[in-house]
Amino acid sequence: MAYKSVIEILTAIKNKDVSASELTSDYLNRIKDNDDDLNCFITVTEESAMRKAKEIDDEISKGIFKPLSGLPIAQKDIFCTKGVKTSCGSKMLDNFISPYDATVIEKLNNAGTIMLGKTNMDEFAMGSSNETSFYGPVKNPWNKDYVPGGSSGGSASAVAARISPCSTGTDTGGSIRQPASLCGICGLKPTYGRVSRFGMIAFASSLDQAGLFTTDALDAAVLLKEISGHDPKDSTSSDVDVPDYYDYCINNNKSTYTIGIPDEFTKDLNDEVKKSFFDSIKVLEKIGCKIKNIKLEHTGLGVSAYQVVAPAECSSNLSRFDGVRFGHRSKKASSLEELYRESRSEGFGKEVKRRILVGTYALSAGYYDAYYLKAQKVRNLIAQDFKNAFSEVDLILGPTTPDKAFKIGEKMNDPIAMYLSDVYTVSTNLAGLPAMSIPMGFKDKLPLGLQIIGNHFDEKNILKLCHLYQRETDWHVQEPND
Amino acid sequence: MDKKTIDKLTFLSKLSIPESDIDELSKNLDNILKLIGEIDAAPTDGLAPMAHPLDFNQPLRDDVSKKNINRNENQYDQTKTKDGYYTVPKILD
Amino acid sequence: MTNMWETVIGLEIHVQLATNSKLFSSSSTNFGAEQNTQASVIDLAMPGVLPVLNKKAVEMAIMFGLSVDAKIAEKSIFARKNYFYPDLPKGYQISQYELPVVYDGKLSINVDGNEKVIGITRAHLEEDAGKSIHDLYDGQSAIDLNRAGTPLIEIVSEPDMRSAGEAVAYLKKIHSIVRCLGISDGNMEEGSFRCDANISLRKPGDKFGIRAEIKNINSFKFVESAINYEVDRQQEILESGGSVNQETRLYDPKKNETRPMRSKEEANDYRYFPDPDLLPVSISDDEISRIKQFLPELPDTKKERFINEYSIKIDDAEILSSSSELSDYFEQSIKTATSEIQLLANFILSEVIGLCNKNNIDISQAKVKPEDVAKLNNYIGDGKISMKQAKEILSEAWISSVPVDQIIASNNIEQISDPDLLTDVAKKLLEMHPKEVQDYRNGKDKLMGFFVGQIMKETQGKANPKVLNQVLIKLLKGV
Repeated sequence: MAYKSVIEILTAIKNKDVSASELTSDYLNRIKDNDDDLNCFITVTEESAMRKAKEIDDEISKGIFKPLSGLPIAQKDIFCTKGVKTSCGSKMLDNFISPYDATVIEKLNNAGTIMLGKTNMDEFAMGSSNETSFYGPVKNPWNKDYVPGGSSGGSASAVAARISPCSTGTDTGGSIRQPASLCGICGLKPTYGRVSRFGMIAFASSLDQAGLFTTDALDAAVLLKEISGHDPKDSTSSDVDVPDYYDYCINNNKSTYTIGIPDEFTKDLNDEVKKSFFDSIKVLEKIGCKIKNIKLEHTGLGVSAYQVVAPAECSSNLSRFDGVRFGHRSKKASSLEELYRESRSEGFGKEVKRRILVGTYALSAGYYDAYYLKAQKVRNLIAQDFKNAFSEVDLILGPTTPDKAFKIGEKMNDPIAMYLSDVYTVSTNLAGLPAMSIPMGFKDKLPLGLQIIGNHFDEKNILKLCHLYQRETDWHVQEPND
Repeated sequence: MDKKTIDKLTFLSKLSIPESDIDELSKNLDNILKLIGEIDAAPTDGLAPMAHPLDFNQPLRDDVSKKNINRNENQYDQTKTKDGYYTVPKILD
Repeated sequence: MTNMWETVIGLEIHVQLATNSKLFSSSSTNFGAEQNTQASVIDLAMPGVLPVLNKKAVEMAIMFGLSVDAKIAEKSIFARKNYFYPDLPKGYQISQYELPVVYDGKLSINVDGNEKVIGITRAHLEEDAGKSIHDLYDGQSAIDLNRAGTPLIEIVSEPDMRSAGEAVAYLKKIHSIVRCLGISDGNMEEGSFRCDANISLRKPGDKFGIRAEIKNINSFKFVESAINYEVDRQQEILESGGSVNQETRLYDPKKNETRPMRSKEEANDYRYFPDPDLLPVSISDDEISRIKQFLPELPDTKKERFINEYSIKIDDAEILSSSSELSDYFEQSIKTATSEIQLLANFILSEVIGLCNKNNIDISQAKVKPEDVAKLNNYIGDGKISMKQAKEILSEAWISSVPVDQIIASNNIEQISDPDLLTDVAKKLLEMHPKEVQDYRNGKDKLMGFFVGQIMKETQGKANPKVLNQVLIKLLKGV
């Protein structure tokens, strides 16, 4: 059974070439065969997956087809799933059974997908290597000594290893695009507000956005339509119309774009990454795109501003994990103060604690103006840079990451080096823009990613350009074990 | 970052850091403060702080109460409850 | 020594809004449900949940703002106030810090006939916390989160009050406004209306002294005693050369004293910042005009109208307009009134309210209808019954729920006010007592009492004293 993409799977189901049960059982077997080693999954929901597959097959036999009927999918363990452990990669939630479904989960369930399990991730999505997970690091299927990136490392590695055809992720500073880049697949972070955040465990509320991993841009187009739209349960979700992305990619005549390349994204690149990137640009020029050099002058401030805003919000968002109503509760506590301090200190890992402390500092009396408020102004500065750029160009391109994947353990004790690996991705989160990473080549047999940034709510043109690029190239169909 | 500041931050954030980790933490926090301190020189005169990437107004909800609460599901962890109450070590004041 | 110090008081009043659902979730706000059955995943701050703002709560806050001449913010922002407590599930309270929905208002109060204007700094929306119960289990506190997320407005006054009396008058005025607007039930026992008082002393003309904050006082009486206690305490400290600690204190009604809270709130740093889960709320002029149209008549306006329309005393108008239940009762009774309205007001304020208080019920539950109260007054005015009889009939009607007309008819307690009838009775009496008549005419005035007494005996007390008096004088003096 060798279906290459979500679209092939949906077609095969529709043509009754394969049943949902057969397909699900095939993927569950692939997980069994590979995941002891890769560690992509925290929880495999075999039983409920097979039950759901049977339901879908029954529906299909009655002629009921939903948009994604029978599609197996892996869900990042940051999304609450009713009755299933939802850990967020943390000891804090090792025993947490969610009493409700996230909106993204509900929408995907209703569209007919079959959840294979919950994927590994950096603890509370704080990390760029998947090494901060309570459940151990995930491996990169291209070379198991290397990280898959993070925080959505499990979701990215699972799709790259073809043990799930697609998966969900979340992106606060690059947590979809960076692992997609390092694992050689497509990772789409939609516009802030495009997809509901309800039921997605918050890291930094004004930056977090749910998105997708697939192997093909068209697959992402099909899935995005199903998870997008206003959710009455999320005040920050937008009611901007959701187009038929797939239809736009296939049938719309638009075929050329004015593409901006910011100097700030290319000037410090190593030779291999630079070559892959400019080779990709040549491909786009060949199909008629116009290239323009632009400035995103304040890119260099992105990581610093991000490392204020994200920890500030996280320090508050993570206060609910106090051991009182759910999650880890220390057995050592004999007073309320101890209950709080011991439960939180035992439940959170080092990186999470660091960010809580930095965030608490940035919001505290005497430092608020210099850190939090100033960072919000820098955020505006960065947003203005993009606004100016989009008055001249349709899309902005650059590499997703400064380099290929790094080795497991290599940056674990150097938080600053880890933070700086997000240099090309954080600024889009600060500005709330949509962006996607697709494979553009290899360095030392490890994948490299091309990042396409669009204007607010312009996912359709990002997807279309990716589709056009993928028609000309074959990076995205290469598999780790070829 | 000195011990006094770390103590204040751990008090506010209800964390406790083992004595043996303080040095490493302090060094890391200093490096992070250096990194985030770079925003200090940013030319932001006249720019409003941007709390949110979206520029639209808060949608409001109609005042309708719904009865969809399942206390048993919410209190899945019975070690934390008694007779439907959450329990914590006795609070003074 | 005492008048060396000026007391400075500012109040923060927390008013629970009478919405059906919570401020940021659809859970019911009903009081008294079984523990944690009105706490949804949102109220419990389960991982991943998000707040969605209740429209009605915003409207209610605007109604309040319009009622105290305040400005309504065009753009209002919600902020997180961060601190840990088991009754605060998120570890932060969603409140407002910069840009509250209502700001810059004022309210006039009346203490001992003196008008005074108290500034209202702001009124902001925020969510209530749950409840901690400390005496249920040994060694453990029990947490009920049913109340968590219930909408409140916190009304912050300027430090404009100078005595416990002014503070209570201000508090009562706010209470009557929120009840009149229907935005809160104002139930102090259930905690729907509670108050923190900031108190400091200074020498007149000096800048403000160091203040102590007394938390969560939940009755008008306690506010008065707590402030008075605190003023004495601070005065003692200052006069012995000490200085007041800036701290949070609790009032203990049983001991009638305030004491510092054991947990030091001062050590906290709330780290307010805009809640990234909520966008700015914008309130248009159209919206404000729309809400203005539905505002009920406010106590002050009503008071003026009562004075002008019914010519009643200012103090009576003040009381009668203070709650809509009472003013409704009063105005309902006026529809049936033919006698002087001031007398009717007197009767309601002394007799009807007296019975309500004795039975510990609200005027809206009074056992005698306003129409019947008006009738009793009409009959007094017509001389049909005496004041004494009216009170007796009211008491009987209160107990039996029998209409007053029926009580009057069945007990034959109508007063004899017909001058002709009384003249006949008096003539007979005077004929029987020629000596006394002679003595009276010779200047023994006090014999009048004798004649009245005899006739009262004769008529079983039903003679209208006023008419009888006139009749007797006419007969005796031939006027």
